[in-house]
Amino acid sequence: MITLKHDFKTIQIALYLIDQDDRKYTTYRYLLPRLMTASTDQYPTRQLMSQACENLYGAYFKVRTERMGNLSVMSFVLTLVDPKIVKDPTLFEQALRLFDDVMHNHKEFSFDVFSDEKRMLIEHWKTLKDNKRGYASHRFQSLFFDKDLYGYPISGSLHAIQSLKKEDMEAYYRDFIHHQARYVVINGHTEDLDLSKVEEVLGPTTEMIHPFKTAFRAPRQKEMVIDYTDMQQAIVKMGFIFPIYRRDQLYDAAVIVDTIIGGYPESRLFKVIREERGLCYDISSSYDYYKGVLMISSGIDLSQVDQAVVAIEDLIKNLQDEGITDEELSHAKAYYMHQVKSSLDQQSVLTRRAFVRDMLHYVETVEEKLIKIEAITKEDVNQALKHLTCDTIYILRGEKHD
Amino acid sequence: MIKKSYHAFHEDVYIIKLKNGMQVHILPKEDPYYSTYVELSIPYGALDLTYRLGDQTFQTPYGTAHFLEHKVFAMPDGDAFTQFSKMGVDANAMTSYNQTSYLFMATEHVMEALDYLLKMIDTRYVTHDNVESEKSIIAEELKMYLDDPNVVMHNTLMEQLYVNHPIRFDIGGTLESIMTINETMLDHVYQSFYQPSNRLMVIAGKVNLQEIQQFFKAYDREHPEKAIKPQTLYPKEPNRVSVKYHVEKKPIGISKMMMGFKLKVKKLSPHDQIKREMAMAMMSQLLLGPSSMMFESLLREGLINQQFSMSANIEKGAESITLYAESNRIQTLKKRLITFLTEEGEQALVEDSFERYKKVFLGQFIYALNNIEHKAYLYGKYYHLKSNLFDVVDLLQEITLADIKMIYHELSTKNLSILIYKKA
Repeated sequence: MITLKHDFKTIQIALYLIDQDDRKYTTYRYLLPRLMTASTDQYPTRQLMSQACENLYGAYFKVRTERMGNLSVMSFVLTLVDPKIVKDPTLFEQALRLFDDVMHNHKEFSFDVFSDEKRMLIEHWKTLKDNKRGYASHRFQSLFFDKDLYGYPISGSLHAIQSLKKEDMEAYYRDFIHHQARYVVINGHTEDLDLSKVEEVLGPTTEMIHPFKTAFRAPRQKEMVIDYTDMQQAIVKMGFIFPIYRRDQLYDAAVIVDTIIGGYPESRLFKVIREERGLCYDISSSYDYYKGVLMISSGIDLSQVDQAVVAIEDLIKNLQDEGITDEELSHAKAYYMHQVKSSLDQQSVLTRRAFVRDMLHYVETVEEKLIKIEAITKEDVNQALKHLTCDTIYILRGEKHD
Repeated sequence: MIKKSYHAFHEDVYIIKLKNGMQVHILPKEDPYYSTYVELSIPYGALDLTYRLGDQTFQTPYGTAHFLEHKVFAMPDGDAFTQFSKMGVDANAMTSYNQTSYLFMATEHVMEALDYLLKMIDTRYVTHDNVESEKSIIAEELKMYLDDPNVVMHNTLMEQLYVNHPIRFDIGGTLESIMTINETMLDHVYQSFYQPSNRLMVIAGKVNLQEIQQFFKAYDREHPEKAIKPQTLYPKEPNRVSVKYHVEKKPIGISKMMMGFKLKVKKLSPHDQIKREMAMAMMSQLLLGPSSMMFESLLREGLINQQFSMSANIEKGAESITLYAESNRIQTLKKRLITFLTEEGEQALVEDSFERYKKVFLGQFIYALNNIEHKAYLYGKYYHLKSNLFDVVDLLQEITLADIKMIYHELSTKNLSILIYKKA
């Protein structure tokens, strides 16, 4: 168990359960944390479960299933107010009992709760096209990551959801717990609390046995897909293969590349495509260091979408040909260091970071990290830039095609 | 510098009042803490369209406050964002119905960024060319929202609820209205509303109090002006809704509905107004929150999904309770909700649920104090409402179940407007 004693007005109790990412279990792993926190044997309806949380001064569970490289991570984070502030010395113990219930007290899942969750997930799929940005992201993910598991929806396919049975879900619940690597993090003012019970309830840390893998495919011939729908703008998404991973020498330089391309308001995309050319309102890039990819996303004026795509491609090419400037490097480094430091003031970031560091055996301190960022050179960044290859362009746009 | 302590929440506030009327409120966090969050807010938002200054009245197009927010970042030597980025500082701005805020988060160069933020606010650099070029950027921002059916539904419902009130229109204005905005208008609203006496600066997180105090002493000497504050005028708004019911067929995956109850605006003291806002929010949760009987029933019957929400909205001269739902049986849901909200709902307003919700609100207040951005935003919001963030908990304790029931009795089919997007 990792204990963080940061000065927050809330306490977080977090449990992370990790297994290999496997398409066969995707839907189970997506729905399971939702079902487990929706009701328990003690609180058999969603209403009673909500009331139990409300009685703890609105304590809440945040559950999530996400992919990290070849791993699937289920997180259960319970946030409650510091018992000292509300002068309730039993609050932590009550919260822990609730967590115990969520993890262990499900002889079976309520049919009603299971049906509701399943129906809502199906309805989410049916309304996906209504949310243009969400739909564009979904389409882009499936194109760019194609046969890779990252291209498979995190909740599973509509077919997988529709065929899901309560008994199968229960069987997975009974069995899954034995195969998971497990990490527990407690974050907040816990000096006066009895933490021995946390381990009794959530178990000791169980190290991951699967090797952590970060890999993706080589660049392919560029693919461009355009979908048409009823909308005022065009959403453009571009995928670049950028094979630099979290543990690589050039990792920090790759973060700087992302920052300079579209990571902040002084980025090239923001300054050139939005400010100088007036082609869009929003434009940004993001870097996935587990998959070694960089993605650009923008909402663009319909009449200028073709120009915008060419302008973005030219911008990247120029950057690769001519490299970055000294000024760009120094600003991006300052911004990166600011991001690292300011994240240390956020409880949820600290909780998650503690788990990731433990799981992946990262030992670098913040001070070491800042020194490393300071040492990044223009050559490092220009070298990292050479690794970028655009191979997927997806456009969701209004206006019917002839 | 005045110091106020709020022992229950382990919070101190330091206040600097400048001669020019501007106030600076500092909410320090003890070490170890890395970030400083600064928010400068002006009580001028999307609803301040018509204003009186002296004996003259001025009318501006929808979206003027938001447009000006964009242009404040324009500086004679380039974009202010660039300067903030050079310092490694995250800057941003936002416009709401009632205020405009300029903010940044810094871990280094705090005083430099603070100085630059004030320079940016004090510099008027609005030209014909930079106003014209901004129009296409704002148009894209508006189009982005117009592609979101939820935003479109919200805007349409506001048009249905209100006859004259400017809340009928999006904070950013319309594609047409922004085209009529010019540099003269922006210049005038800037001079009228952005004067120092109208500004509040909240500084939260890691601070050096002495440094800040010295900085504002010097700033005060250089900016002594105090001007007359403009008065916003609102058109007379009838109690009736503009459109009671509207259905449109749309190519969507599932039918969607928005309901709005237009409440009669009461003349209340600032404290009573805040209590009313909290009571409205509590009532919404007691009636249809996740722990309510009705929410459970609707979910069980497959009539709602996770998108269901109910919210209480209080703006200047416009108060409403709104609901959003998606359903495959939208007409059945509509009937159930109308009957419940206008006839049967009072049975859900019971003492034990009410007391439980008071605990939830106290918890939510503490959660908000955990995040310096949220804390500073709320601090500014309550300041402009002529109250104090830390008094809110005392006001919460004063709310009674009878207050909640009184608001419930304001819900009626007479002040109800419904908008349905039916799946084609």
